[in-house]
Amino acid sequence: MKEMSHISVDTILSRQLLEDAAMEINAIPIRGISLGSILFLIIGALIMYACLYLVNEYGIKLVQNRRARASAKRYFPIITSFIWLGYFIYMGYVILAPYPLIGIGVILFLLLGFWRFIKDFIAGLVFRIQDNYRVNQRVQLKNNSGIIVELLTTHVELESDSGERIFVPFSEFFNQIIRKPSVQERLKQFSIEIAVEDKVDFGQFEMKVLSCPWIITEKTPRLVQNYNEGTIQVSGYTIDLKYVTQIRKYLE
Amino acid sequence: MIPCSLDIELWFVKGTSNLVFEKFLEFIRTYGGKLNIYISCNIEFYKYVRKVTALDNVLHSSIIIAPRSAEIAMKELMYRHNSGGMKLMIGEKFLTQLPKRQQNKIIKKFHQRSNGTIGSVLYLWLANIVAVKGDTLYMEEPAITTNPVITNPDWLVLLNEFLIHKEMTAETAIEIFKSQEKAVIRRSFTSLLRTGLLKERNEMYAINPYAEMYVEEILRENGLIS
Repeated sequence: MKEMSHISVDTILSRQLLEDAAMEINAIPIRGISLGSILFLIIGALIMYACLYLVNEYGIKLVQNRRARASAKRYFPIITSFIWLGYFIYMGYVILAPYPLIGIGVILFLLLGFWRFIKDFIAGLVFRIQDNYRVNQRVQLKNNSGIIVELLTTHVELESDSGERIFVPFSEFFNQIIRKPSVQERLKQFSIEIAVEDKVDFGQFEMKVLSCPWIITEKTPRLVQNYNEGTIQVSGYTIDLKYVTQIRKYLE
Repeated sequence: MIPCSLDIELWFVKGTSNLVFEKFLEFIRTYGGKLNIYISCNIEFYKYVRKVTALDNVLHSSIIIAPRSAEIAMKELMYRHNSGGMKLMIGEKFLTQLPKRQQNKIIKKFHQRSNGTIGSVLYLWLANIVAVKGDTLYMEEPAITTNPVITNPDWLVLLNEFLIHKEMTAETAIEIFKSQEKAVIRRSFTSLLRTGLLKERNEMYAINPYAEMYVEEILRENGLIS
């Protein structure tokens, strides 16, 4: 009997709740978009930004387990992006619900105004989920090349060989062919002519070339003796072209 | 009688007359038929020295020790660990309490991170010990790390020389580089020491054994070794 009464009470309660909810839904168009609700959205966004920032900057560092920390570092930006996406959808709903036509207009206006940002934001989300590129990886795009320093919200930060910071939007990454340069491309090829005596010991000279610390001996340098001009042409690889002068000085 | 010489790279300095090393080769040439002489060296040194000396001509055979398979590395690691007689706790459980599959998974991680080089596996094992309490070692699984980007080519060249020579004093480096810029070399030594990539003992510098596998990987990424 007691159970029966419980059931009946629950049923009444749920019916009441449904009615309340229906009344609330009906109440929304009456409420409309007030300055308060806009402020609420803005303050909500600011609080959410602050919380996510604190978690990203300090919260992750508190994780003791190294493995869990590494996973948190990898997945937190993806979760953050999804949270923001959800927030924007909610914001769209709040604006759209009371006055659908004005709401669609506002959303279209925002989409057009921030299209570039939104495009990069979504592209960044896909980019992170795919996980094809990581920090410290060298990439070469159509016009730029460098090492990935950081994956930002809408951009990839690259550092070029000359130390320049290049910010490439994620959407650019998707629209371009990206090459991951091979080791050979990173080494710099050089060719220099060294004046030698007529009776130079070619074997000795070869040893000297192989002993030069700035020449990559992994790729055996090529030596060609020019008897007419009294020179030996040395072609090989070095790690940086600034060493060519030192190589010349070493061999002369 | 079996004379052995370990780390013959210590007898060699790039770009010098290397009289001692030549005498050593002469000794092998003379007595190699009567004695079994075993020598050992780093693979990078061997690849280099065979180009500039007659080492290959005096050797009867050379054995290149390839990276160990996960199974062998695991066995060696466990033999070494068990010889100490200490209990091992990974995370919140003793290693022996973990199922075999889980044990293999953890040890395979050590193998993967060190590319199968047994010395590196052992150093990685030591580096992941977080605490020692009584007769129990507390350990973490090796984390995935990204190699630091070394953009200074001077450092890369110097590290390459360290890999070939194993250890050097600042004077030896100056001799190798035949450089007037002694200050630059000394500065690079100090900087590398500060980064932890080098270690120093009695003014003799060498690659920090804990960082050796990372240094090799950085040099490989930059094309200095293959």
